[in-house]
Amino acid sequence: MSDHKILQYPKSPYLKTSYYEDTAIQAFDTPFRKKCLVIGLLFWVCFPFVASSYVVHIANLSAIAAIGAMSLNLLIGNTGLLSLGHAGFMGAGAFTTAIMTVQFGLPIWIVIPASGIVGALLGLIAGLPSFQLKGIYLGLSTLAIHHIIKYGCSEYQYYGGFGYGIVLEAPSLGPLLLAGKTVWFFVLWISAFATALLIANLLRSKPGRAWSAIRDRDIAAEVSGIDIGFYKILAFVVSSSLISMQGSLYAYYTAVVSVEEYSFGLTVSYLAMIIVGGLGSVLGSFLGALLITALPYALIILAGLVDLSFAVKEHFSVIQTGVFGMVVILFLLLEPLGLVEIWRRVRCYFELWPFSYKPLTIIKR
Amino acid sequence: MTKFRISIMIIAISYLFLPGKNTAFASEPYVFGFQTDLTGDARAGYAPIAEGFRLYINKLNDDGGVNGHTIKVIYEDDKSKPDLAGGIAEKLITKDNVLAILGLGYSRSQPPVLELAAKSGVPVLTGYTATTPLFPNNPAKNVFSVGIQMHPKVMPQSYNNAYVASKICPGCRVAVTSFDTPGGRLCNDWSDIWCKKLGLNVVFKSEWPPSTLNYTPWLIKICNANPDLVISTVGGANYIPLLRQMEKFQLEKVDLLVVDFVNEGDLIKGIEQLLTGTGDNVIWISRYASALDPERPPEFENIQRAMNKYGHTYSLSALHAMGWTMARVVESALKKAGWPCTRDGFIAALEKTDLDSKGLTGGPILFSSTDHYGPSWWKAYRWDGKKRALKTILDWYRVELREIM
Amino acid sequence: MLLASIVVLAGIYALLGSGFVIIYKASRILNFAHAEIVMLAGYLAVSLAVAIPFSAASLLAVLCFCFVLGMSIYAILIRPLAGYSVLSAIILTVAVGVLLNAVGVFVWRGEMEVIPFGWRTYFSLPGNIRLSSIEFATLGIVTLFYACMGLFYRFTKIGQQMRATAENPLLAAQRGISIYRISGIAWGIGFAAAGLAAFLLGINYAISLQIGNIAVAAFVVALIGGLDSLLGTIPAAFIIAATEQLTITYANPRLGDAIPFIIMLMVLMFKPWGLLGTKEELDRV
Repeated sequence: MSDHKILQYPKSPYLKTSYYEDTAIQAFDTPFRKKCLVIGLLFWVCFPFVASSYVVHIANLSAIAAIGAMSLNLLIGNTGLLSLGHAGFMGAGAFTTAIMTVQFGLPIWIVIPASGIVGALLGLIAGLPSFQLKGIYLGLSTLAIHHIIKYGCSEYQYYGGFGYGIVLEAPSLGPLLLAGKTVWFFVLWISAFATALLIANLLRSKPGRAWSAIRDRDIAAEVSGIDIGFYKILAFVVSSSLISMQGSLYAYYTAVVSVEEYSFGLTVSYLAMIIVGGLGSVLGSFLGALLITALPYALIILAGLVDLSFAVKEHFSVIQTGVFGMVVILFLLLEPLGLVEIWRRVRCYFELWPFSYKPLTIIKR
Repeated sequence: MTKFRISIMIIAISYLFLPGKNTAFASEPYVFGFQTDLTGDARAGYAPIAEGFRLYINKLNDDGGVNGHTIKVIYEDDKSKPDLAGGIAEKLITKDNVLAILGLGYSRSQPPVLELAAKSGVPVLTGYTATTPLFPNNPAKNVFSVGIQMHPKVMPQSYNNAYVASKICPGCRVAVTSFDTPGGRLCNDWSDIWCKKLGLNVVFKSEWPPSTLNYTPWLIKICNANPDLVISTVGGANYIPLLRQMEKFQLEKVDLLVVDFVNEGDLIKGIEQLLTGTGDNVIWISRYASALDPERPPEFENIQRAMNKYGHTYSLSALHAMGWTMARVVESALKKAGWPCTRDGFIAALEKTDLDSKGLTGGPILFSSTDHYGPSWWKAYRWDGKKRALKTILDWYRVELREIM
Repeated sequence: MLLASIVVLAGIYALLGSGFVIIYKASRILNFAHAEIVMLAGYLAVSLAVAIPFSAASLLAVLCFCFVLGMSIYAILIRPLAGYSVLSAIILTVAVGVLLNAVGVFVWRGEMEVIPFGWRTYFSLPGNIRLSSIEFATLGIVTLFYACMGLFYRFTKIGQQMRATAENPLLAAQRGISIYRISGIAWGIGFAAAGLAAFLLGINYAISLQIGNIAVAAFVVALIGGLDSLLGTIPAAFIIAATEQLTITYANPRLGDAIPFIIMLMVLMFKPWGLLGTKEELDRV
């Protein structure tokens, strides 16, 4: 009886006593988090009306990038499968969108799921070599698929007679015309949050646990009864279908689809996002996407503060590229766990902030 | 210390979110945005235009500006990337509040910029190309061009290729080649169409990827087709390896017709690498006069002087003349519009442009409310290996896009 | 004529592929910065060839530069990552590539250039084939390089240690071989091979920012030949060069970029460790 009574005491929200408590999404469980959430939500709703449309544009691009980074992170960070072909899947989504809207005039709510299906099929094909290949070899086979997709798209663009690119008209979702940065801000960020929720839930359910097991040691995973072939393919299908839908959103947002955009460089920037953000973390994908997307624009704005000479401007894009490479190298060398680890340390620090004791979890490096 | 750092970061971040001030109206200078490919794949065709433009503006500001106000130009580099171009245009329009966007580069990065500009009524004056209709029947209200109209229904450069080819050797066998980019393919298709219309015999047509360094497969096919003239809509420095490999295939006697968007300096660089060939087979079409012509118009001396004074990265070319003329168009429009100048006022003033190009083009730059492009004048040069200079083989001829459409 | 061009191209591909192989053998890292090394070395060669009249001297300078660059990149950037997954090292090489690309563009503006090269004559061979002296020299240099590498692996102490490291790094380390030193030297040699290839590319075709496309094809060559087999790059280079050039000539030129990858995909499906590569555990990432 007395044991039963002990359990009635209010428990600290930080104390987890079961697996389900531990994996629950901890966004609303303390009053402080609730307050933060409400304030964050208010800020988010007001943001596009307060900020200049240039900043909203950057935020929109970040949201798109975040979806892509999350889908790549699912594959690389959570399942441990290397893909170098995500720009190809994205291009496939964009071209599906272009074909379906320009040639068949289909509405957006059919086109985006259709892009997802195309992406899933391509992911299935790309995932097939994963039965046999691992690591870098798998990455290379996806790179090959990227080039094949790119070839197909360029043939379509050529024979379709779309010179500089396929121009899309603003889609409408029911009575709402999706045009203008503000409308897109909500569409894109809601999609990003929905993707985050989907991935977070996948990760804490059966497939997610199977993926982690495969990443950590595939033979051990197989011994414990996980069908590794199925789950590897599943990871590819989910990831490429997500990035394909993201490509579709990107196509609608920029309103131009051209094959040159979906180059290997795009994959590199997504890789950079998950490295900088933190492998295997949804929050990390968001942080990395924000940083890498905003970096060139932030440099432009910083350069605007000082009046640079024309000669420097001519070299400016090189400086941007160089800074991009440098950031990735520095993160890999100095903080391989990424921004999400920095965020964790900051949080740990503030959990005991007014007191002078350092929390145990802070590890001096 | 940490608090200090955090507060500085907060200030810096909040600066990013602040909407732009109305600088163009509140403070002294006229503010323009110049966005183009200062770097990127297509740089060689666009950056010299920006340089020519900058030279004239520097000179103008040193001479006291227009209507007593200087001109401030914000140069931005869009690296031939559409999403970057859109973002930069957004920044120029909303944050810097520019009077007009000038320049623009690679065809594929133009649509987002033009769409934004149309929505916010910002005038656009393009240097090299404009991918939106500029003449007959409702031209884009706010877009003007002193360069080449890349209208998908006309492709003037393709028309010029075919026209010059038909003047040099009527009815001969022609090979048409271009870059395997969307714009290149359009050019090539239209070169093919125009050549056939003008009575030439097209014996070979192909595109090569811009990354090609080894032209052997194409050159073999060209050799087999045995043309009298090769039309090449390939840009930039690719002529350096191409000319050398043509020499290997003994194609140095076959005329090579080079499209206008090549910087003639690159062409000469390629010719200098030749071993036996003299480059006498190279023909080059231009909308602006070339600096390498000994009989070049005297205005080039002014550009050269400005180059010496304000510094330069590219050697003097026809593209500089284009940028220079563009700056003069801006100046003349500002003179008409006065101070303060609104965007609509600037458009109205541009529509009244009638500017003597001082010999840099075949005729005056003429814009009207129904034609934002005006008549264009073209010229064909041939490289003279002995004199090491370009010589005119087809003097200024006028192309009325209205008529050929 | 096409055949001759295929042979020359295959020589350059083989040389480029050997750079990947040498580095992979020693450190199990695929160097994605190879294309940028080639570009950087090429531009350096262009500048040096203008400044120094002796092409041999400028070639030597480029090779030395590449060797030192390779060693220092290994020592400064790759070695600290020992213990992390190979994936991070690979992504690091991608980032290094981005950085080196920026450096190259910053210094040389990324214009397309050829290396001016004095002695250039053309020989007409039977069968309507015309070859330049440069192409003969290219074939000679590639053959010489492969011969030197073969002798190096076989007879020198460092070469033998390198082979030992490639076979089993743990055992090699226990036998007293400093695998870091060996890997560093291998990176140096791999980069020098890239420098040599850049020089040949520069005198045969041109140096430009898009040289990466050729390096990518070379990377496919390394994979098809077997990532740890130097000898395998030779047949692989011929396969890739021939299919690529034949596709461009007789089929669609746009397919030229994709065809090496299609071949690669097929090889990966049936023989994942390449034509002559040793079957390895394949789960190092």
